Amino acid sequence: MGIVEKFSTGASVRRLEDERFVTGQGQYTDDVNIDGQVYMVVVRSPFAHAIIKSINTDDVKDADGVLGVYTGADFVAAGGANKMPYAIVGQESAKPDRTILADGRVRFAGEPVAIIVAETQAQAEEASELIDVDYDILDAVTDIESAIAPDAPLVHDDAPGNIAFRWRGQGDDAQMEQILSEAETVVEMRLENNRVIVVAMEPRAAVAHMDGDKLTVITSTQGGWALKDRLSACLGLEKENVRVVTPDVGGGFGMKAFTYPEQYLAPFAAIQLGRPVKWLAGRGESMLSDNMGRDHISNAKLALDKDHRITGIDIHSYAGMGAYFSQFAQGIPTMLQEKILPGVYDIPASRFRVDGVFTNSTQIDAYRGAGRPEGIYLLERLMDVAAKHVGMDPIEFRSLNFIRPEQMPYKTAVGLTYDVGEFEKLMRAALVKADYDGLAKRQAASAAKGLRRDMGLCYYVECTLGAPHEDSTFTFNPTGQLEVTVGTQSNGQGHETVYAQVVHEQTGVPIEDIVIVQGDTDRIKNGGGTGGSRSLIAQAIAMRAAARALIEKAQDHAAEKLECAPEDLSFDDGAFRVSGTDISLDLKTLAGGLPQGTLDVEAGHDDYTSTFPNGCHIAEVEVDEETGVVTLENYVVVDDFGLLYNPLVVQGQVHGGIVQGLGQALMERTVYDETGQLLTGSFMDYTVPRADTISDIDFTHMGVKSLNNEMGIKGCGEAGTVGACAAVMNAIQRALDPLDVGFVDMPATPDRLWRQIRAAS
Amino acid sequence: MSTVLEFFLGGEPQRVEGVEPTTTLLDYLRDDRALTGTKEGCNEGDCGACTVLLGQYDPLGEAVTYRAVNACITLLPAVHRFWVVTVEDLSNGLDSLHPVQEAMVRRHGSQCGFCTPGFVMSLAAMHLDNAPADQAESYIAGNLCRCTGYGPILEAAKDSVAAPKDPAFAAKEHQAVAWFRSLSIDTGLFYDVAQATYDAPVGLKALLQARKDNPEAVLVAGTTELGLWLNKDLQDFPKLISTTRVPEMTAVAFQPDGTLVIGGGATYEQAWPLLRQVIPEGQDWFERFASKQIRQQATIGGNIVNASPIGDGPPVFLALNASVELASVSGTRVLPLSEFFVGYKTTALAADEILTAIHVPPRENDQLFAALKVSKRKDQDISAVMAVFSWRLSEGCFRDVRIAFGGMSATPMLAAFTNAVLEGAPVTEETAQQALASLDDDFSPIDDLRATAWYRMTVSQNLLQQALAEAVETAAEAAA
Ligand SMILES: Cc1cc2nc3c(=O)[nH]c(=O)nc-3n(C[C@@H](O)[C@@H](O)[C@H](O)COP(=O)(O)OP(=O)(O)OC[C@H]3O[C@@H](n4cnc5c(N)ncnc54)[C@H](O)[C@@H]3O)c2cc1C
Ligand code: FES
Ligand code: FES
Repeated sequence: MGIVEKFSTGASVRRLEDERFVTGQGQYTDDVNIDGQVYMVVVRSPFAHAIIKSINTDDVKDADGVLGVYTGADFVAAGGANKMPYAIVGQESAKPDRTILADGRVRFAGEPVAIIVAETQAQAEEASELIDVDYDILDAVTDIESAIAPDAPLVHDDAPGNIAFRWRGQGDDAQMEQILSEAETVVEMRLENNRVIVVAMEPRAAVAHMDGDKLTVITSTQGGWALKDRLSACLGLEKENVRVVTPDVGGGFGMKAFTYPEQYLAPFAAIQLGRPVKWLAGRGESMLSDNMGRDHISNAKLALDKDHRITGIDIHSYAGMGAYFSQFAQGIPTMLQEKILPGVYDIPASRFRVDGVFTNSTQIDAYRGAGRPEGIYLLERLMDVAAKHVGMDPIEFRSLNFIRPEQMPYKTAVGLTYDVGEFEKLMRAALVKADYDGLAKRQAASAAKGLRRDMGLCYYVECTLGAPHEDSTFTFNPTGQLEVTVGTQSNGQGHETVYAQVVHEQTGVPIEDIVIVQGDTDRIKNGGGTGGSRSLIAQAIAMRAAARALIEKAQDHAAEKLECAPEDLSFDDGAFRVSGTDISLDLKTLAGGLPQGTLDVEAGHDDYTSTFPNGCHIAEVEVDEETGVVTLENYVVVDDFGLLYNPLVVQGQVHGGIVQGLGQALMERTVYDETGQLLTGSFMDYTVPRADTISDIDFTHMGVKSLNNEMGIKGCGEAGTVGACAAVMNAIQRALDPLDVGFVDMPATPDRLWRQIRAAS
Repeated sequence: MSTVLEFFLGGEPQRVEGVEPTTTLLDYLRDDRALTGTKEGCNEGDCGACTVLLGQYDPLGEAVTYRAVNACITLLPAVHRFWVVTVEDLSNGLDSLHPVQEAMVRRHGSQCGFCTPGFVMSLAAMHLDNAPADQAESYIAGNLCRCTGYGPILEAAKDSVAAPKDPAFAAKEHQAVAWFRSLSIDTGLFYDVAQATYDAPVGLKALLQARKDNPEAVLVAGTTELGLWLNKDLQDFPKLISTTRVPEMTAVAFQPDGTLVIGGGATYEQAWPLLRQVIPEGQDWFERFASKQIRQQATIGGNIVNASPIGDGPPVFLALNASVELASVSGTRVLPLSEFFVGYKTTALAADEILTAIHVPPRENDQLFAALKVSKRKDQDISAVMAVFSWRLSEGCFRDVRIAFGGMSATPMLAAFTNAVLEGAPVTEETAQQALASLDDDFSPIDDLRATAWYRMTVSQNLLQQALAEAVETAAEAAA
């Protein structure tokens, strides 16, 4: 197969949601107000590790406006199941309870201890200062290395050494030991993947209310179905009596994929009080309690033969979990990371082992890319380290080891089968774009200013993930619009527009007459939500199936209207056409003349399989040795996402993802002090990128159609984040290598870089 | 004196009584008025999701001028006699977009949309200011977006400056102008709700009297500090006195002898056009002070009185040998700034005093000036170190040496030992070495999450070393 022509299909249609957003008409959870609503505030532990000796709420109850105050014991007494769910992936695992409200002991600063509900937000906040919790403070440990040190305080008594779980992936010990012993060269690297705070611009929020027996929860999610099921279990409600509505979502990035204590607590309070209850996290509260991302320390080995071909990769990682297992925390550094561990290289064998580690800190879970950015970051740093070790140019070293197009389909050492990919070609294209040939000249110019300049490269491959199933229903509503339900959930990726494009293409219904319905568990039975870059692929297959069902169902009706035999009709270019004539009838007109509901259809599938988006990122940086300040001089990315539906939306995803990656690489640093207080709990202290970080990203698409779905598309939501960290860190490393600074870890803040430069000289 | 808040919002004049004076403009818009287009992303002035415009009528120029501010740290009484422009005012429904909104759609400047209204308002300010395209970054430096990576928004900014004025918006402005013209003369505001007061007298005399009569009251200006004490620390402020309606305090002017007098209530943006004439080298320092929204609210007086060791203003004014004018009903005194800072966040300001002006002496023609900020991120970030150098080279010697630092000690401080080493000494490599060594005597910085003590000290030495090396080179060239 050839390279799909640049932007051949798919038009950059204006996003349908944008008019709402730019005029301030977007409806996010906190924009929803319900008559009679009252406000919930969560009382959180100020200590990272403590025994709760007693909680006295008497003064709170007497405070102005207070309607209710509930501790974990109250929650249980009222019939609530005080337990958060999590998946176990490790072959060995501790199984500590994670409660919704603390049960006798708190293990991180910010852990929910009680809730207070009052008539106004201010009253609830004021009352929260009156709660009297008697804590017995215990020693805390907040970073991986201290947690696994002998004699470290134990976060959970049943997790000796703070080892939360042990997991090992595919690969056989004897084989790996043999590969390592027979290798011409074994390159070793120790690397940290810094803990990041996700920072969706919309803080988490929930509004819950009861209407008779029916609970409705309006909340910011990445798909509300799991919450619906869990709420029913946790609060003892019939499933059909729970409705979860997700309005516009101001960014999720994996952080809103799983349920949170407050999403049970606001409904609980609404049931107890018979009043609508609103909860909105403050920014500081979000930073303290939102699932965080990453936090790994890894030791990696790469075995090479005498020709510098890779013969094996062996990795052991410690993965921080925070104080409790969040819902999918075990899966991310293990199964998900393992998928792309061999990257785009022809690596015959791998071994991957992970030890999860508890610390007295906020729980860790998915963050944009979930496992795959971590894996690619590790591999692509290792590729540069190895190239340097054997004295090869990192580009040629990659080139030597790439899986070549003629090896496709290619089964990797971890058992995935890549369908297509033209890695060498994309890398060469990126190098031209980045003017690799002119680098020496630019380096000389920088050197004249006393600055070190270099280029770093990352070739990433992604593996899109997520539930295989998705449904869609099509209904023409009384105003003649086609309502299309979907089980995914836009968090800002422009689903409304892209889905409308898909449906329009299949049915000919004008884009402006297509209404995408999402985020309501009453209207949509099941949904897989957003995550793993799955949405378009999984949903498009369902919508295309529904479109086919619609056309099939409509055919007889069309024939009747057009007074011809059904077999004389063909459906093309958006309408039924009578063969041999110029008579035609489009679906919208047809539906308008039929009784409401005649053309309703529903379709589902289990066919979504992973795709392998891939591409080459190149960053060029200047480093000032005197201050440690890094400036990003150029950024080039060439991606292969198969076929594109909407290039504008795709470019936006890439651009945003890259800047998120750059944030982690250059500035985002989560700091706890030795007592376990989060020091970076506001935008002043936790630095995320602003407009000056980088504005120009040179994006090119060279798609190779995927063979793994009927459309030929691949996912693009996470790719930017997957590739960015290694590209910029490799550039910084190369710029500083002549100074013998050793391995440079993220984040490359001026202070940290500079210390490392000084330590070397 | 008005006891009612009057402002223009949503095409209508508003008269507000009974809303507590410490209510923020953001809470008022979202909760009291259900204008939910303005978002809350942080409530701390950091993210710009709550950006709105405050329009003010200039009767001389017969024009409305606008400034973008963060509604989350603006108190409602501060909008007295302003036009509050929110995102809802920019378009007439979904179908007729304002040019900046149109540009945001076309460039795909919005993904999840949560930050979008704030960006739209910052871009609208840029559009209304007729600012050149290269200022786009500065206009949006105070807005955070986690989705787009900013590139498309910068493109949208560039498109929208080229766009013509929007007729629909012009019509709204016309209505606002009619309202501005209908206002009677400003006699000050005394706003009193349920034992909480906000007193904004007109004229310095009245202000000083109010200060004297209410020792327990807290003075406010731009509320960029106070807003955080309110929102984050949940402090109560039953009694506030505002400096914002005192014209004497917002004036910025050169005196005949060349001294620049900056009113104690002038904002950074108000002061900069004249201050820039004194220190054109300070452009970068100015642009990296917080964000446009904050600079349009934050007063230099407030920044100095706050006496934060990591404030960006104090080291600059220390190096410029500025003095502060402190006034009370019993009189006025002028104190060198270096004597104003007495300890960690404490100053020589007496209980009944107000900082009414900052005096910046004229600059010598050959006076070098450099202000260098080191932080993790360029825009809107707290300084790890703020280094400011000022000296003259005369007949091969250093003269009038005033080196000041922020982030290096409990107060912003002149580097007294280093200054003494350099003063009058020959401009040589040897002097430079002595000066560098003496920085250790001046400061023993602290470790915190922004930087380690070691980093602070060595970066300071590096910065000084560079500046001194240049001086040595210049002197050598002059000698040759
Ligand atoms: C998001 C954000 C970013 C920031 N970034 C920076 C930065 O980069 N660099 C930096 O240095 N600062 C920064 N600041 C702080 C800076 O905005 C303030 O220090 C500001 O200058 C204070 O002025 P104000 O008018 O807002 O003071 P207010 O908040 O109104 O008052 C602050 C204090 O000063 C007193 N005060 C004010 N005026 C007078 C007067 N005339 N006489 C006596 N007392 C007075 C008040 O009583 C009060 O105690 C930032 C703040 C925010 C919110
Ligand atoms: S809400 Fe973030 S600046 Fe106001
Ligand atoms: S569009 Fe989501 S934060 Fe900007």
